[in-house]
Amino acid sequence: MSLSVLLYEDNDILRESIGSMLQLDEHYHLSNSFNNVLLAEKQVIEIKPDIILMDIDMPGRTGIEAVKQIRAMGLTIPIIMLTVFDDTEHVFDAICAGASGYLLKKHLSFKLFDAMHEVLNGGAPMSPSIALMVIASLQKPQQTKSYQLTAREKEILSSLSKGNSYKMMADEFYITIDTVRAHIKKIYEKLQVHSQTEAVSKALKERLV
Amino acid sequence: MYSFYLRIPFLSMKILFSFLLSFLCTIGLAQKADSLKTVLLKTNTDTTRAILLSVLADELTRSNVQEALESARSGLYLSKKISFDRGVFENSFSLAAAFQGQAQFDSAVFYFHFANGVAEKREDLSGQAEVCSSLGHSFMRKSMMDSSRYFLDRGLALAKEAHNYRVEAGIYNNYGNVFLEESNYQKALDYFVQAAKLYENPLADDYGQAMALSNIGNIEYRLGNYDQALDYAWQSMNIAKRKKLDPQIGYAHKLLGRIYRKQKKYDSALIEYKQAQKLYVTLGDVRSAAELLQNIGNIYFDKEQHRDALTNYQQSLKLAKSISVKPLIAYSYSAIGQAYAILKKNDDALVYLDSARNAAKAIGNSYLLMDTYDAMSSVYESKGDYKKALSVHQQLAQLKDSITQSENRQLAEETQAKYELEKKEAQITLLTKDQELKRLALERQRAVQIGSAIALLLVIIIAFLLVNRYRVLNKAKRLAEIEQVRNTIARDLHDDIGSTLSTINIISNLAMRENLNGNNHHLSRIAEQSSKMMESMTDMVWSINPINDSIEKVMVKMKVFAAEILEPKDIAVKFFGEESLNGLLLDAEKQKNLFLIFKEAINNAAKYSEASQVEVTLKQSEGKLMMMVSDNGKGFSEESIKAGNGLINLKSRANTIHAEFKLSSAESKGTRIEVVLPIT
Repeated sequence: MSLSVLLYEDNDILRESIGSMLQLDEHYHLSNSFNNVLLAEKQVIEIKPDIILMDIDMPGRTGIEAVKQIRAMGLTIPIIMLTVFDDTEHVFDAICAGASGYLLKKHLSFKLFDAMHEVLNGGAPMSPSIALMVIASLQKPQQTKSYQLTAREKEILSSLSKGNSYKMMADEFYITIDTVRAHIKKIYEKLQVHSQTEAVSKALKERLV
Repeated sequence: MYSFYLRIPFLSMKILFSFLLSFLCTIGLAQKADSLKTVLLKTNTDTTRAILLSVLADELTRSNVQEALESARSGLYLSKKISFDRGVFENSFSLAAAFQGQAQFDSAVFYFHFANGVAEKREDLSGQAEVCSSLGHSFMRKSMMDSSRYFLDRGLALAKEAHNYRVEAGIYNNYGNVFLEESNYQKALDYFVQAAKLYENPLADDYGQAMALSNIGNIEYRLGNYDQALDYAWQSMNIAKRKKLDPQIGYAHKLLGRIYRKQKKYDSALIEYKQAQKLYVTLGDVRSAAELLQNIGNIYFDKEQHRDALTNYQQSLKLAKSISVKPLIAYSYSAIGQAYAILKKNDDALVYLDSARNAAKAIGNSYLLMDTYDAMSSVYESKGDYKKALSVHQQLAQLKDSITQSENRQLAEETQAKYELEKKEAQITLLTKDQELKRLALERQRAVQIGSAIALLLVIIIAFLLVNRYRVLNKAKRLAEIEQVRNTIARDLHDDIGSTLSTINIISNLAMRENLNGNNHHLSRIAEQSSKMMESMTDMVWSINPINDSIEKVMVKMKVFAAEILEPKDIAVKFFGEESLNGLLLDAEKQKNLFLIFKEAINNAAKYSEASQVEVTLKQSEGKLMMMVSDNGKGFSEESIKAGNGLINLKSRANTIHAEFKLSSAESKGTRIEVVLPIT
């Protein structure tokens, strides 16, 4: 059976193209697509997709906001952010808000299925700029949230931020690429777990009020 | 108590004559005067005669006023005739002193002023000081205290300037007397003490000291401290007796007598007065002797021994008449009259009282006149002649009124003077205040001006700083704005075009899949070009982002790119020299071209080298940045190098950033690209 994909993208031609692309792989099918996330929570509950592709910059409400709300409802559906750049705070914010991974739009045509596969199997790539942002957020003196990263995870982050590939890191630390990937997955989880508890407590508060 | 008419000679010549005569001192004034007269007769020099005449006048002042006046007048005449200024001064001074002794203060003042003029002409400070001192005394006797003070102050300043301690001490004495007259005993005491000090040191003048002591005693007497008064009087007496200072002995006797009288120790008083009287007779001081006879008479009167009193009064009158001292004569007449009245010899009483009335009128002594009227009225009353009594009484009342009037007038005048003075002082105060106010206003104005100037300066500085800051901020802001606009445009462009390119890329791929059997050459070119364009756009946007300035960031990007390209082809890539970069900053142009050269080199290595390993070195040293990309691939010959289109591209990029470019390759020996970029 094929997995249902929910797509949010405000560029109409791109949205249609992605939709066409998804038809090429029998493992996936596009259950629905929208050009905004204003009703995202309701749509997610109704459609119950297996994976969500979400543009970051959309009119009215950003993809990051939508991710936060979806995670606040306690839903763990994998969400892949679509972005033109990977060196912006947006991507990092999205990951912290609970996004499972991200995909550069220029790589859509040849990395989309790989990316979905990776995310669904619990691994997502991380670029040096994202790694730098994670490190920066760890070093902030007023940082109250502690991701409780292990020493090795920090080493991986540091190496990653210097532009080293998974392979280079594997060579550097004398581990396999899979282990590198596992570490990175763990880092993602720690970032998200934190942001989820934060989001939940915030949502609870809002409801209580 | 006044000893100021006893002028102390201070001119050398006078002192010489006094010294010549001093051996005669004990003999008495009369003999002294006689000796002087003898010397005068034998002297032919006019100047000496003039001085001698003034000395003689001084000597005669106490014993024979008329003669004294005569002597001084002739001395003055002589001095004027021979234009002998010193003589003029001495004689006019002596003349004034004689008038002062006669209580003829107006005349005294006139001649003192005359003497002063001469002293000024002679630039004789001591002389001027002495004249001032005497004028002060005269005005005191006239009860014109302010004038007295004026001259005493002037005299004091002159005496100090002339370093004439004797005159200075004399002035202190006079000052003491002024305060004494005003019943300011404390001040009086202060001045007498000051005088006493000067007499003791530096003057070592026993006479002055004895006098000062007796003056102090006099004050104590005035204060009613009779025991202390007696003590000082006796101290004065002792000094005077030890040094044989006869006039001072006489004065001490007088003071003692006065004190004893107050203590009602009439017998002791009589003893003192009589001793004094005897002494003055010996000294030839007729006037003092006459005064003392009156005092003795007064004591007898107090003791109600009226006959004895009368005898003394009559003797006093006789002496007073002999030396023509009018006040003394007047008092004597009055005293005799009152004594006769007490003795009920009314007719005799009336005769003397009438004389007393005329004499008092002549000397203008209103108080004595009142006394006389009072006594006359009583006598008429006791005689039963009430009409006369009433008439006299009326005269008395009239006199009283006139005195009161004159006192009132005097008081009014004084008040007027005081008022004028106060007005003047008030005006001065007002003026001073006005000036003070003006000064304050001026100060305030100046403060305001300075304050304004400072404020203005501050405002200018602040304005300058603000403008400067605004300009700097504005510049930075404008730069930031430009930057932001540039970024926004780039990103928007990229977002839009990027999405579109992605779409084209996707669609071309989709088309290729749908058309699996056909010729996909054109479609694959579309997919390739759109992909390449997306890369270029990403690089372009990246290179204009100022955050990517440091060379380390470039290296990160290089690593990512190299791994992305080479790893899928199983070409290992290693980077070197990272630690030497040290946060080096490159401008956007160099950054971009360096990165593009690198990309080209990596792409070439990936496509053509068939290498298993690529090594990248990025190193900073000696102001230069060196980038080397080398592979262990198959390499190529020189000919193929020339043919390559990509190499021309690399060289032109290197030229753009003024970098050296070097390519070396040989078959089976790999390829090496080297770029050396100046960074200073």
